[in-house]
Amino acid sequence: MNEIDKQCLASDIDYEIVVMEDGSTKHLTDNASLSSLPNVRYISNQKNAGRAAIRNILADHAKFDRLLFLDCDSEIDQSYFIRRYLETKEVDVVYGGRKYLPQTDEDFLLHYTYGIEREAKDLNTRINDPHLHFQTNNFAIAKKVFQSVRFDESLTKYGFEDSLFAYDLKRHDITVVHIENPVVHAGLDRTDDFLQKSRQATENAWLLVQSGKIPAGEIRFTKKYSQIRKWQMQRPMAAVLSVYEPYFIAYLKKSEPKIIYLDFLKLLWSHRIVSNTDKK
Amino acid sequence: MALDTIVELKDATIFQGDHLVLSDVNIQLGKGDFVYLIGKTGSGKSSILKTIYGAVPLKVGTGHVGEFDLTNLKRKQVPYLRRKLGIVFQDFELLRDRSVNENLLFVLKATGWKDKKAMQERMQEVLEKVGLGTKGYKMPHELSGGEQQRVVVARALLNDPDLILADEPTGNLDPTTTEEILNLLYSISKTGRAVLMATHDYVHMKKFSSRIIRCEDNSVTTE
Repeated sequence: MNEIDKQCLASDIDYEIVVMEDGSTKHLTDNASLSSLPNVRYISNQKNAGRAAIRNILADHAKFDRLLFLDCDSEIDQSYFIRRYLETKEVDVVYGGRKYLPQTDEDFLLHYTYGIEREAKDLNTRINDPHLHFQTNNFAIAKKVFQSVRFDESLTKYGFEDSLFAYDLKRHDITVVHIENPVVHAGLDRTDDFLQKSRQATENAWLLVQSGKIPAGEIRFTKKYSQIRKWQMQRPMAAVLSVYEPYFIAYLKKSEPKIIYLDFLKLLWSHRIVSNTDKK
Repeated sequence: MALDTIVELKDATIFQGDHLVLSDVNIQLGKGDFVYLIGKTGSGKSSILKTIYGAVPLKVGTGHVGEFDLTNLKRKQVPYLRRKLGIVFQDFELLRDRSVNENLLFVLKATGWKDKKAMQERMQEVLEKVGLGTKGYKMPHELSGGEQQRVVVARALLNDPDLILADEPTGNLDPTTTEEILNLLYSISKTGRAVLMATHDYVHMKKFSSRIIRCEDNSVTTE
Protein backbone atom coordinates (compact mmCIF):
# COMPACT_ATOMS: atom_id res chain seq x y z
CA MET A 1 0.00 0.00 0.00
CA ASN A 2 2.68 2.43 1.03
CA GLU A 3 4.69 1.48 -2.05
CA ILE A 4 1.74 2.20 -4.35
CA ASP A 5 1.05 5.50 -2.65
CA LYS A 6 4.72 6.44 -2.95
CA GLN A 7 4.84 5.58 -6.67
CA CYS A 8 1.61 7.44 -7.41
CA LEU A 9 2.86 10.51 -5.60
CA ALA A 10 6.12 10.40 -7.53
CA SER A 11 4.27 10.14 -10.86
CA ASP A 12 2.57 13.45 -10.29
CA ILE A 13 -0.92 12.29 -11.21
CA ASP A 14 -4.37 12.79 -9.72
CA TYR A 15 -5.12 9.56 -7.96
CA GLU A 16 -6.96 7.95 -5.11
CA ILE A 17 -6.62 4.57 -3.46
CA VAL A 18 -9.86 2.98 -2.35
CA VAL A 19 -9.47 0.13 0.12
CA MET A 20 -12.46 -1.91 1.07
CA GLU A 21 -12.89 -4.41 3.84
CA ASP A 22 -15.05 -7.34 2.84
CA GLY A 23 -16.64 -8.34 6.12
CA SER A 24 -13.34 -9.63 7.43
CA THR A 25 -12.26 -8.56 10.90
CA LYS A 26 -8.73 -9.88 10.74
CA HIS A 27 -6.83 -6.69 9.93
CA LEU A 28 -9.29 -3.99 10.97
CA THR A 29 -6.99 -2.05 13.27
CA ASP A 30 -3.98 -2.26 10.93
CA ASN A 31 -6.04 -1.14 7.99
CA ALA A 32 -7.78 1.69 9.80
CA SER A 33 -4.45 3.47 9.98
CA LEU A 34 -4.47 3.65 6.16
CA SER A 35 -7.02 6.45 6.33
CA SER A 36 -4.29 8.73 7.59
CA LEU A 37 -2.78 8.79 4.08
CA PRO A 38 -4.24 11.78 2.24
CA ASN A 39 -5.20 9.99 -0.98
CA VAL A 40 -6.57 6.84 0.60
CA ARG A 41 -10.20 6.14 1.21
CA TYR A 42 -10.85 3.28 3.56
CA ILE A 43 -14.27 1.69 3.57
CA SER A 44 -15.09 -0.93 6.09
CA ASN A 45 -17.92 -3.01 4.71
CA GLN A 46 -19.72 -4.88 7.45
CA LYS A 47 -21.12 -7.73 5.45
CA ASN A 48 -19.30 -10.04 3.11
CA ALA A 49 -20.58 -9.02 -0.30
CA GLY A 50 -18.62 -11.63 -2.27
CA ARG A 51 -15.67 -11.19 -4.57
CA ALA A 52 -17.73 -10.09 -7.57
CA ALA A 53 -19.96 -7.55 -5.83
CA ILE A 54 -17.14 -5.93 -3.90
CA ARG A 55 -15.26 -5.13 -7.08
CA ASN A 56 -18.35 -3.48 -8.51
CA ILE A 57 -18.79 -1.45 -5.33
CA LEU A 58 -15.14 -0.39 -5.48
CA ALA A 59 -15.59 0.78 -9.06
CA ASP A 60 -18.74 2.72 -8.11
CA HIS A 61 -16.80 4.48 -5.37
CA ALA A 62 -13.91 5.44 -7.67
CA LYS A 63 -13.97 9.03 -8.85
CA PHE A 64 -11.46 8.95 -11.72
CA ASP A 65 -11.91 7.43 -15.17
CA ARG A 66 -9.15 4.83 -15.05
CA LEU A 67 -9.18 1.95 -12.57
CA LEU A 68 -6.39 -0.32 -11.34
CA PHE A 69 -7.59 -3.40 -9.49
CA LEU A 70 -5.21 -5.12 -7.08
CA ASP A 71 -5.91 -8.00 -4.74
CA CYS A 72 -5.11 -7.38 -1.11
CA ASP A 73 -2.52 -10.18 -1.03
CA SER A 74 -0.40 -8.58 -3.76
CA GLU A 75 3.05 -7.18 -3.13
CA ILE A 76 4.76 -4.69 -5.40
CA ASP A 77 8.48 -5.30 -5.88
CA GLN A 78 9.22 -3.02 -8.85
CA SER A 79 9.71 0.71 -8.58
CA TYR A 80 8.21 1.31 -12.03
CA PHE A 81 5.00 -0.61 -11.37
CA ILE A 82 2.65 2.39 -11.51
CA ARG A 83 4.59 3.95 -14.35
CA ARG A 84 4.08 0.86 -16.53
CA TYR A 85 0.36 1.15 -16.05
CA LEU A 86 0.41 4.88 -16.80
CA GLU A 87 2.10 4.09 -20.12
CA THR A 88 -0.87 1.91 -21.06
CA LYS A 89 -3.62 4.33 -20.20
CA GLU A 90 -5.05 4.44 -23.71
CA VAL A 91 -6.00 0.79 -24.06
CA ASP A 92 -9.24 -0.57 -22.63
CA VAL A 93 -7.96 -3.41 -20.45
CA VAL A 94 -4.41 -4.30 -19.43
CA TYR A 95 -3.27 -7.30 -17.42
CA GLY A 96 0.13 -7.16 -15.73
CA GLY A 97 0.49 -10.74 -14.50
CA ARG A 98 1.55 -12.33 -11.25
CA LYS A 99 4.55 -14.11 -9.85
CA TYR A 100 5.51 -16.14 -6.82
CA LEU A 101 8.52 -15.97 -4.57
CA PRO A 102 10.23 -19.31 -3.88
CA GLN A 103 8.59 -21.16 -1.00
CA THR A 104 10.26 -23.51 1.41
CA ASP A 105 7.46 -23.92 3.94
CA GLU A 106 5.87 -27.29 3.12
CA ASP A 107 2.45 -26.12 4.23
CA PHE A 108 2.20 -23.78 1.27
CA LEU A 109 3.90 -25.89 -1.38
CA LEU A 110 0.76 -27.05 -3.14
CA HIS A 111 -0.59 -23.55 -3.68
CA TYR A 112 2.86 -22.37 -4.69
CA THR A 113 3.37 -25.19 -7.21
CA TYR A 114 -0.09 -24.65 -8.62
CA GLY A 115 0.67 -20.94 -8.84
CA ILE A 116 3.89 -21.25 -10.79
CA GLU A 117 2.59 -24.00 -13.07
CA ARG A 118 -0.90 -22.76 -13.81
CA GLU A 119 -1.33 -19.13 -12.85
CA ALA A 120 1.93 -17.25 -13.33
CA LYS A 121 2.07 -17.58 -17.11
CA ASP A 122 4.78 -15.79 -19.04
CA LEU A 123 3.90 -13.00 -21.41
CA ASN A 124 4.06 -15.06 -24.60
CA THR A 125 1.74 -17.73 -23.27
CA ARG A 126 -0.65 -15.02 -22.19
CA ILE A 127 -0.73 -13.20 -25.51
CA ASN A 128 -1.47 -16.46 -27.34
CA ASP A 129 -4.85 -16.57 -25.63
CA PRO A 130 -5.39 -13.17 -24.02
CA HIS A 131 -8.82 -13.80 -22.52
CA LEU A 132 -8.08 -17.26 -21.15
CA HIS A 133 -5.02 -15.95 -19.31
CA PHE A 134 -6.66 -12.85 -17.91
CA GLN A 135 -6.95 -12.74 -14.13
CA THR A 136 -8.42 -10.09 -11.89
CA ASN A 137 -5.58 -9.85 -9.36
CA ASN A 138 -3.72 -7.06 -11.17
CA PHE A 139 -5.39 -5.23 -14.06
CA ALA A 140 -6.14 -1.73 -15.28
CA ILE A 141 -9.33 -0.81 -17.09
CA ALA A 142 -11.12 2.28 -18.38
CA LYS A 143 -13.97 2.97 -15.99
CA LYS A 144 -16.56 3.22 -18.72
CA VAL A 145 -15.47 -0.14 -20.12
CA PHE A 146 -15.69 -1.67 -16.66
CA GLN A 147 -19.17 -0.26 -16.14
CA SER A 148 -20.33 -1.69 -19.45
CA VAL A 149 -19.32 -5.21 -18.37
CA ARG A 150 -19.11 -5.37 -14.54
CA PHE A 151 -18.67 -8.49 -12.45
CA ASP A 152 -21.65 -10.81 -12.39
CA GLU A 153 -22.99 -10.45 -8.85
CA SER A 154 -24.98 -13.65 -8.92
CA LEU A 155 -21.59 -15.14 -8.08
CA THR A 156 -21.25 -15.04 -4.35
CA LYS A 157 -19.22 -18.19 -3.81
CA TYR A 158 -15.50 -18.58 -4.32
CA GLY A 159 -13.97 -19.23 -7.70
CA PHE A 160 -13.90 -18.35 -11.38
CA GLU A 161 -14.96 -14.71 -11.13
CA ASP A 162 -11.89 -14.13 -13.31
CA SER A 163 -12.96 -16.54 -16.01
CA LEU A 164 -16.48 -15.18 -16.14
CA PHE A 165 -15.30 -11.57 -16.32
CA ALA A 166 -12.77 -12.46 -19.03
CA TYR A 167 -15.43 -14.33 -20.97
CA ASP A 168 -17.78 -11.33 -20.72
CA LEU A 169 -15.01 -9.07 -22.04
CA LYS A 170 -14.56 -11.48 -24.93
CA ARG A 171 -18.29 -11.46 -25.66
CA HIS A 172 -18.22 -7.67 -25.77
CA ASP A 173 -15.25 -7.87 -28.15
CA ILE A 174 -13.01 -6.01 -25.71
CA THR A 175 -9.34 -6.76 -26.24
CA VAL A 176 -7.21 -7.68 -23.25
CA VAL A 177 -3.69 -6.34 -23.66
CA HIS A 178 -0.93 -8.12 -21.75
CA ILE A 179 2.22 -6.54 -20.39
CA GLU A 180 5.02 -7.65 -18.12
CA ASN A 181 4.17 -5.94 -14.84
CA PRO A 182 3.58 -8.69 -12.30
CA VAL A 183 2.72 -8.39 -8.64
CA VAL A 184 3.96 -10.94 -6.14
CA HIS A 185 1.13 -13.19 -5.00
CA ALA A 186 1.87 -13.30 -1.29
CA GLY A 187 -1.29 -14.68 0.30
CA LEU A 188 -0.77 -18.39 -0.21
CA ASP A 189 -3.16 -20.85 1.40
CA ARG A 190 -2.16 -23.83 3.46
CA THR A 191 -2.60 -27.10 1.60
CA ASP A 192 -5.79 -28.14 3.43
CA ASP A 193 -7.40 -24.76 2.83
CA PHE A 194 -6.22 -24.74 -0.76
CA LEU A 195 -7.80 -28.14 -1.42
CA GLN A 196 -10.99 -26.97 0.24
CA LYS A 197 -11.06 -23.83 -1.92
CA SER A 198 -10.32 -25.83 -5.06
CA ARG A 199 -13.28 -28.03 -4.27
CA GLN A 200 -15.50 -24.98 -3.76
CA ALA A 201 -14.21 -23.41 -6.97
CA THR A 202 -15.01 -26.62 -8.85
CA GLU A 203 -18.61 -26.37 -7.66
CA ASN A 204 -18.79 -22.76 -8.66
CA ALA A 205 -17.40 -23.50 -12.09
CA TRP A 206 -20.14 -26.05 -12.71
CA LEU A 207 -22.74 -23.61 -11.43
CA LEU A 208 -21.53 -21.16 -14.07
CA VAL A 209 -21.48 -23.77 -16.82
CA GLN A 210 -24.85 -25.25 -15.96
CA SER A 211 -26.53 -21.86 -15.73
CA GLY A 212 -25.19 -21.08 -19.20
CA LYS A 213 -23.07 -18.12 -18.09
CA ILE A 214 -19.91 -19.60 -19.50
CA PRO A 215 -19.34 -22.41 -22.02
CA ALA A 216 -17.70 -25.57 -20.62
CA GLY A 217 -14.85 -25.07 -23.09
CA GLU A 218 -13.64 -21.93 -21.30
CA ILE A 219 -12.48 -23.75 -18.16
CA ARG A 220 -9.89 -26.49 -18.23
CA PHE A 221 -11.57 -29.24 -16.23
CA THR A 222 -15.18 -28.55 -17.27
CA LYS A 223 -13.94 -28.90 -20.83
CA LYS A 224 -12.14 -32.16 -20.08
CA TYR A 225 -15.06 -33.63 -18.15
CA SER A 226 -17.51 -32.70 -20.89
CA GLN A 227 -15.35 -34.51 -23.44
CA ILE A 228 -15.15 -37.62 -21.27
CA ARG A 229 -18.88 -37.49 -20.81
CA LYS A 230 -19.42 -37.27 -24.52
CA TRP A 231 -17.58 -40.58 -24.86
CA GLN A 232 -19.72 -41.96 -22.02
CA MET A 233 -16.59 -42.73 -20.05
CA GLN A 234 -17.41 -40.68 -16.97
CA ARG A 235 -18.57 -43.58 -14.77
CA PRO A 236 -15.57 -45.85 -15.28
CA MET A 237 -13.32 -42.83 -14.90
CA ALA A 238 -14.94 -41.88 -11.60
CA ALA A 239 -14.78 -45.45 -10.35
CA VAL A 240 -11.05 -45.62 -10.97
CA LEU A 241 -10.34 -42.15 -9.63
CA SER A 242 -12.29 -42.67 -6.42
CA VAL A 243 -10.14 -45.71 -5.61
CA TYR A 244 -7.06 -43.50 -5.85
CA GLU A 245 -8.61 -40.43 -4.23
CA PRO A 246 -6.94 -40.81 -0.81
CA TYR A 247 -3.58 -41.38 -2.52
CA PHE A 248 -3.94 -38.26 -4.66
CA ILE A 249 -4.67 -36.22 -1.57
CA ALA A 250 -1.72 -37.73 0.27
CA TYR A 251 0.60 -37.05 -2.68
CA LEU A 252 -0.55 -33.45 -2.94
CA LYS A 253 0.51 -32.92 0.65
CA LYS A 254 4.04 -34.16 -0.02
CA SER A 255 7.07 -32.03 -0.74
CA GLU A 256 6.89 -32.22 -4.54
CA PRO A 257 3.19 -32.11 -5.32
CA LYS A 258 2.20 -33.00 -8.88
CA ILE A 259 -0.60 -30.78 -10.10
CA ILE A 260 -1.94 -33.53 -12.33
CA TYR A 261 -3.24 -35.27 -9.19
CA LEU A 262 -5.25 -32.14 -8.47
CA ASP A 263 -6.56 -32.31 -12.05
CA PHE A 264 -7.73 -35.88 -11.36
CA LEU A 265 -9.43 -34.76 -8.18
CA LYS A 266 -11.21 -31.99 -10.03
CA LEU A 267 -12.50 -34.49 -12.58
CA LEU A 268 -13.75 -36.72 -9.79
CA TRP A 269 -15.39 -33.80 -7.98
CA SER A 270 -16.89 -32.71 -11.30
CA HIS A 271 -18.43 -36.15 -11.71
CA ARG A 272 -19.97 -36.02 -8.24
CA ILE A 273 -21.32 -32.51 -8.79
CA VAL A 274 -22.75 -33.23 -12.22
CA SER A 275 -24.34 -36.56 -11.28
CA ASN A 276 -25.84 -34.90 -8.22
CA THR A 277 -27.49 -32.18 -10.26
CA ASP A 278 -28.64 -34.79 -12.80
CA LYS A 279 -30.50 -36.61 -10.04
CA LYS A 280 -32.29 -33.43 -9.08
CA MET B 1 16.11 16.78 -24.62
CA ALA B 2 14.08 15.43 -21.73
CA LEU B 3 15.66 12.68 -19.70
CA ASP B 4 13.53 9.88 -21.11
CA THR B 5 13.52 11.04 -24.74
CA ILE B 6 14.75 8.40 -27.15
CA VAL B 7 14.12 10.05 -30.51
CA GLU B 8 13.31 13.61 -31.43
CA LEU B 9 12.83 15.48 -34.71
CA LYS B 10 12.43 19.24 -34.36
CA ASP B 11 11.23 21.60 -37.10
CA ALA B 12 12.60 19.09 -39.56
CA THR B 13 12.06 19.14 -43.28
CA ILE B 14 12.31 15.78 -44.94
CA PHE B 15 13.41 15.34 -48.53
CA GLN B 16 13.51 12.24 -50.64
CA GLY B 17 16.24 13.17 -53.12
CA ASP B 18 15.43 16.77 -54.08
CA HIS B 19 11.74 16.27 -53.58
CA LEU B 20 10.24 17.80 -50.42
CA VAL B 21 8.13 15.18 -48.65
CA LEU B 22 7.30 16.70 -45.26
CA SER B 23 7.95 20.02 -43.59
CA ASP B 24 7.73 21.25 -39.99
CA VAL B 25 8.08 17.76 -38.61
CA ASN B 26 8.03 17.64 -34.82
CA ILE B 27 8.13 14.20 -33.30
CA GLN B 28 9.23 13.06 -29.89
CA LEU B 29 9.25 9.53 -28.51
CA GLY B 30 10.26 8.55 -25.01
CA LYS B 31 10.61 5.39 -22.97
CA GLY B 32 7.38 3.41 -22.89
CA ASP B 33 5.92 5.09 -25.98
CA PHE B 34 4.11 3.02 -28.57
CA VAL B 35 3.29 5.27 -31.49
CA TYR B 36 1.50 4.63 -34.78
CA LEU B 37 2.65 6.33 -37.94
CA ILE B 38 -0.17 6.53 -40.44
CA GLY B 39 -0.84 8.11 -43.82
CA LYS B 40 -1.43 7.14 -47.43
CA THR B 41 1.24 5.47 -49.51
CA GLY B 42 3.73 8.15 -50.52
CA SER B 43 2.74 10.48 -47.69
CA GLY B 44 6.19 10.25 -46.12
CA LYS B 45 5.90 7.52 -43.48
CA SER B 46 8.85 5.58 -44.85
CA SER B 47 10.86 8.78 -45.29
CA ILE B 48 10.45 9.51 -41.58
CA LEU B 49 11.62 6.01 -40.70
CA LYS B 50 14.54 6.32 -43.12
CA THR B 51 15.56 9.64 -41.62
CA ILE B 52 15.59 8.07 -38.18
CA TYR B 53 17.74 5.14 -39.25
CA GLY B 54 20.11 7.30 -41.20
CA ALA B 55 19.20 6.29 -44.76
CA VAL B 56 17.92 9.77 -45.62
CA PRO B 57 20.09 12.68 -44.42
CA LEU B 58 18.47 15.37 -42.31
CA LYS B 59 19.33 18.75 -43.83
CA VAL B 60 16.81 21.15 -42.33
CA GLY B 61 15.89 21.17 -38.66
CA THR B 62 17.37 19.09 -35.86
CA GLY B 63 17.08 15.47 -34.87
CA HIS B 64 18.46 13.04 -32.32
CA VAL B 65 18.35 9.33 -31.71
CA GLY B 66 19.83 8.78 -28.27
CA GLU B 67 23.16 10.61 -28.37
CA PHE B 68 23.34 10.56 -32.19
CA ASP B 69 22.84 13.90 -33.88
CA LEU B 70 21.03 13.22 -37.16
CA THR B 71 22.00 16.53 -38.78
CA ASN B 72 25.73 15.91 -38.56
CA LEU B 73 25.60 12.19 -38.97
CA LYS B 74 28.77 10.85 -40.60
CA ARG B 75 28.60 7.85 -42.88
CA LYS B 76 30.86 5.99 -40.50
CA GLN B 77 28.45 6.54 -37.63
CA VAL B 78 25.45 4.97 -39.38
CA PRO B 79 26.27 1.37 -38.35
CA TYR B 80 26.59 2.51 -34.73
CA LEU B 81 23.27 4.35 -34.94
CA ARG B 82 21.60 1.23 -36.34
CA ARG B 83 22.86 -0.82 -33.44
CA LYS B 84 20.72 1.40 -31.25
CA LEU B 85 17.68 0.51 -33.30
CA GLY B 86 15.68 -2.61 -33.84
CA ILE B 87 14.05 -2.89 -37.22
CA VAL B 88 10.97 -4.97 -38.01
CA PHE B 89 9.92 -4.63 -41.61
CA GLN B 90 7.38 -6.64 -43.51
CA ASP B 91 9.89 -7.37 -46.25
CA PHE B 92 12.91 -7.58 -43.96
CA GLU B 93 13.12 -11.28 -44.46
CA LEU B 94 14.97 -14.00 -42.67
CA LEU B 95 17.77 -15.73 -44.52
CA ARG B 96 16.08 -18.86 -45.87
CA ASP B 97 19.17 -21.02 -46.13
CA ARG B 98 19.97 -21.14 -42.41
CA SER B 99 18.34 -21.86 -39.10
CA VAL B 100 16.80 -19.33 -36.72
CA ASN B 101 19.91 -19.44 -34.54
CA GLU B 102 22.19 -18.90 -37.52
CA ASN B 103 20.06 -15.95 -38.61
CA LEU B 104 20.55 -14.38 -35.22
CA LEU B 105 24.24 -15.27 -35.11
CA PHE B 106 24.72 -13.59 -38.47
CA VAL B 107 23.39 -10.31 -37.07
CA LEU B 108 25.42 -10.57 -33.87
CA LYS B 109 28.66 -11.14 -35.80
CA ALA B 110 27.83 -8.31 -38.18
CA THR B 111 27.35 -5.96 -35.25
CA GLY B 112 30.67 -6.76 -33.65
CA TRP B 113 29.98 -9.52 -31.12
CA LYS B 114 32.93 -11.84 -30.53
CA ASP B 115 32.42 -13.90 -27.37
CA LYS B 116 30.78 -17.20 -28.41
CA LYS B 117 29.20 -17.91 -25.05
CA ALA B 118 27.78 -14.40 -24.74
CA MET B 119 26.33 -14.72 -28.25
CA GLN B 120 24.65 -18.06 -27.43
CA GLU B 121 23.18 -16.60 -24.26
CA ARG B 122 21.90 -13.51 -26.00
CA MET B 123 20.27 -15.54 -28.77
CA GLN B 124 18.50 -17.74 -26.26
CA GLU B 125 17.42 -14.71 -24.27
CA VAL B 126 15.77 -12.92 -27.20
CA LEU B 127 14.11 -16.10 -28.45
CA GLU B 128 12.60 -16.64 -25.03
CA LYS B 129 11.38 -13.07 -25.02
CA VAL B 130 9.29 -13.78 -28.10
CA GLY B 131 8.15 -17.23 -26.93
CA LEU B 132 10.38 -19.30 -29.23
CA GLY B 133 12.88 -20.52 -26.67
CA THR B 134 12.84 -24.08 -28.04
CA LYS B 135 12.77 -23.34 -31.77
CA GLY B 136 16.19 -21.89 -32.45
CA TYR B 137 17.32 -24.95 -34.41
CA LYS B 138 14.43 -24.73 -36.90
CA MET B 139 14.67 -23.50 -40.46
CA PRO B 140 12.51 -20.48 -41.36
CA HIS B 141 10.26 -22.54 -43.66
CA GLU B 142 9.43 -24.85 -40.76
CA LEU B 143 7.85 -21.95 -38.88
CA SER B 144 4.43 -20.35 -39.31
CA GLY B 145 4.15 -16.76 -40.57
CA GLY B 146 3.57 -15.51 -37.04
CA GLU B 147 6.57 -17.41 -35.72
CA GLN B 148 8.77 -16.04 -38.50
CA GLN B 149 7.71 -12.54 -37.60
CA ARG B 150 8.50 -13.31 -33.95
CA VAL B 151 12.00 -14.27 -35.04
CA VAL B 152 12.26 -10.93 -36.82
CA VAL B 153 11.23 -9.25 -33.56
CA ALA B 154 13.80 -11.33 -31.66
CA ARG B 155 16.46 -10.31 -34.17
CA ALA B 156 15.50 -6.67 -33.67
CA LEU B 157 16.02 -7.09 -29.93
CA LEU B 158 19.52 -8.60 -30.17
CA ASN B 159 21.43 -5.39 -29.46
CA ASP B 160 19.01 -4.29 -26.74
CA PRO B 161 17.79 -1.26 -28.71
CA ASP B 162 16.05 1.74 -27.18
CA LEU B 163 13.94 2.23 -30.28
CA ILE B 164 12.14 -0.24 -32.50
CA LEU B 165 11.03 0.83 -35.95
CA ALA B 166 8.34 -1.27 -37.51
CA ASP B 167 7.00 -0.86 -41.04
CA GLU B 168 3.72 -2.73 -41.59
CA PRO B 169 4.99 -5.58 -39.39
CA THR B 170 1.69 -7.46 -39.55
CA GLY B 171 0.89 -6.85 -43.21
CA ASN B 172 0.98 -10.54 -44.15
CA LEU B 173 -0.54 -12.06 -41.02
CA ASP B 174 -4.02 -13.30 -40.12
CA PRO B 175 -5.99 -11.33 -37.49
CA THR B 176 -5.21 -13.61 -34.53
CA THR B 177 -1.49 -13.66 -35.25
CA THR B 178 -1.59 -9.92 -35.88
CA GLU B 179 -2.94 -9.42 -32.39
CA GLU B 180 -0.16 -11.56 -30.92
CA ILE B 181 2.59 -9.66 -32.72
CA LEU B 182 1.04 -6.31 -31.85
CA ASN B 183 0.73 -7.27 -28.21
CA LEU B 184 4.34 -8.42 -28.28
CA LEU B 185 5.57 -5.10 -29.72
CA TYR B 186 3.29 -3.18 -27.39
CA SER B 187 4.61 -4.97 -24.32
CA ILE B 188 8.20 -4.48 -25.52
CA SER B 189 7.59 -0.72 -25.53
CA LYS B 190 6.61 -1.03 -21.87
CA THR B 191 10.06 -2.25 -20.92
CA GLY B 192 11.64 1.18 -21.18
CA ARG B 193 11.84 1.31 -24.98
CA ALA B 194 9.97 3.16 -27.70
CA VAL B 195 8.22 1.59 -30.68
CA LEU B 196 7.34 3.55 -33.81
CA MET B 197 5.16 1.61 -36.17
CA ALA B 198 3.92 2.50 -39.64
CA THR B 199 0.61 0.80 -40.36
CA HIS B 200 -2.67 0.81 -42.28
CA ASP B 201 -4.47 -1.51 -39.94
CA TYR B 202 -7.10 0.68 -38.30
CA VAL B 203 -8.99 -2.20 -36.70
CA HIS B 204 -6.01 -3.26 -34.64
CA MET B 205 -4.99 0.31 -33.94
CA LYS B 206 -8.28 0.66 -32.11
CA LYS B 207 -7.68 -2.48 -30.10
CA PHE B 208 -4.18 -1.44 -29.08
CA SER B 209 -5.08 2.18 -28.87
CA SER B 210 -2.12 4.55 -28.53
CA ARG B 211 -0.68 7.84 -29.79
CA ILE B 212 -0.98 8.41 -33.55
CA ILE B 213 1.22 10.46 -35.86
CA ARG B 214 -0.45 11.21 -39.17
CA CYS B 215 1.34 12.20 -42.39
CA GLU B 216 -0.88 14.17 -44.74
CA ASP B 217 -0.45 17.01 -47.27
CA ASN B 218 3.27 17.36 -46.61
CA SER B 219 2.83 17.82 -42.89
CA VAL B 220 2.65 15.81 -39.73
CA THR B 221 -0.03 15.96 -37.04
CA THR B 222 -0.17 14.16 -33.73
CA GLU B 223 -3.49 13.02 -32.34
